[in-house]
Amino acid sequence: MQVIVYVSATLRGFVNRNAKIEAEGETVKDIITFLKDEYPDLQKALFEEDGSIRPFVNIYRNEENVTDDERQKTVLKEGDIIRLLPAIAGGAPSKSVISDERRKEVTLDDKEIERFNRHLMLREISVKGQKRIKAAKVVVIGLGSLGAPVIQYLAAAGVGTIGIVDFDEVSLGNLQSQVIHGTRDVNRPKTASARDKIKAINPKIKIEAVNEKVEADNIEELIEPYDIVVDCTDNYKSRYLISDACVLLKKPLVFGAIYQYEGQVSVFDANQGPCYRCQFPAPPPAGLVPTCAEGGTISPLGGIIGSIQANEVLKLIIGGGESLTGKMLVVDSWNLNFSIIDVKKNEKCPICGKTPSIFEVEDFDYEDFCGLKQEDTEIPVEGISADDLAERIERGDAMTLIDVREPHERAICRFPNAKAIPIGQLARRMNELDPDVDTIFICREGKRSILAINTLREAGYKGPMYNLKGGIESAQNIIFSNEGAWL
Amino acid sequence: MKKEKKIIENAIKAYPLECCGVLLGKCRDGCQVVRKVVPEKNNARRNRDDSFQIDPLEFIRLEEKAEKDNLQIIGFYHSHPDCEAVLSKEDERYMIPELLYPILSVVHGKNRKMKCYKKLVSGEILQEEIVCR
Repeated sequence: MQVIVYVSATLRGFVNRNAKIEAEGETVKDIITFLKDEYPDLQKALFEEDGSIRPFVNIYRNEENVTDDERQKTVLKEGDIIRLLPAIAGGAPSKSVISDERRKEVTLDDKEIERFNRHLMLREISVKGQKRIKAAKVVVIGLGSLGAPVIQYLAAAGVGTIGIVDFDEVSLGNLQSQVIHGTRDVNRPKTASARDKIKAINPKIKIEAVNEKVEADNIEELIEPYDIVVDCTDNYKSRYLISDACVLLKKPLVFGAIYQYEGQVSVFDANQGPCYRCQFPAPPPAGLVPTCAEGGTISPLGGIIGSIQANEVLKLIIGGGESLTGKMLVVDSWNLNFSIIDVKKNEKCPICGKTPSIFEVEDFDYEDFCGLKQEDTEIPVEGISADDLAERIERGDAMTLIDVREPHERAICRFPNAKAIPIGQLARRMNELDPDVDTIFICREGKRSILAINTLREAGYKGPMYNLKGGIESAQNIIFSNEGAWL
Repeated sequence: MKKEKKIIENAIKAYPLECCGVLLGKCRDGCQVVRKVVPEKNNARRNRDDSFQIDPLEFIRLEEKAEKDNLQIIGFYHSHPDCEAVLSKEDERYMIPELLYPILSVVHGKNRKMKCYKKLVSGEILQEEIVCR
């Protein structure tokens, strides 16, 4: 049978500019074969290598779309007009970290529909978004003040797989702000306590618990199976390690940090923005910025920052909203001030810049970078244990005790016979020390006292100096024979 | 500028849905020049906020009219509401070789950026400037 094939002007370049072609065939498929044979350019441009028609082409028989393989078997009738038309279509890119393929593999049962109803009724989330959440795998490193709200909300939201990483055990002091742990959890591993809480919220969530410290030799293996990494740690070494591993493995990182009354949240995705190193090329000198254990934190701050982290994770999964990629939210909870600052990608960043110099986490010395190692050329700071100090006090040895804590810290617990000189005043009050006797420096954990000693050395003090190892924390259980010594 | 403005107005009016339309013009010395911008109805069956489609039968009428006006179809534009002006995988799949594909990013109802792309027969994708007259 002979039929007329009309070719859209947009496709005529492949049929020698013919608008109208007379073709022979019994079915639509025959006509296509005819055209392919007559016009090799058409074959090349409009058909894939396996012979299937490319997505941007439609074949119409009169007003019927006969593009797909089944419809191509349609038998032609007298007077049929075949048209080769372009398919004009497209769509916005999906911003979700969870692919459509993975989303389509997920189903929601009736209970889940009831459980997540408040998500399903939101236009921006709905069933598609909830399926992405269920398909998602998120790892949370650090189960303290920040990790607590993060895992609670990710579990409540229905994240299908949650990895939880922490090497530590719950201590009494944690309960002030780490709200997933309770009194009964003291001395339990934090991972065990966190697992129980997630199970209580939703027993169907897959939990992968790792009771280990993150180090260069385990970080990549740890984060590899996940879609998103959430940094809820409390020290610079971990932060740089986690960020570098995320850049190298191309994982988006949701970062959160708290200190006293202030917090920060950002999303570091080196594929499309800055990494942690771009914003913070180097850590502060060791001992300068205390952890929450040393510096304190107001109870709900971790909750505020961690909840925003969880929110950012969900937005990355759903693929909607304004993300904190390339921005940092800075929160001052005391003055109640929220601001968003820009974070620029550093083209010279050693890990995500144009000419990187870090290619493997195991090649980088994080301890040295964060000042956790003592240089060989430095004179080591000599320490004295709490027991040794107690013996010396009992014996009545001549020595000067300097307490470098702030006044409000000293109000919690005083050290007997210690002179109070806060770190900031040490250099100018150097002459109050006696270089002929040992001077022993005391702080809460034994970190600031090291800084104090180094400060005085730099200022030129020559007398013997010792650091109380582990600080006041380590001296708490020591009982003196003379009660007055402790008071 | 007027023609670009027409595309932008179409995109803003359609927000938060995707707009789409046709560029008509001439090919002169290897250069495609836009003479007319024709907004079209977004005929996507679902999710018109992140996808678009021009009805093929409507397209036939459009093409016949263009021929009468002695103009060629030289490209198709559409917008990305609250999204970057970058080609999605879907956009790339449907690109006809040698035609122009401007994409507008419209964020919170405001035009942010317009970028134009062309796919060569080899499959390579280039960014192009739109020439209007």
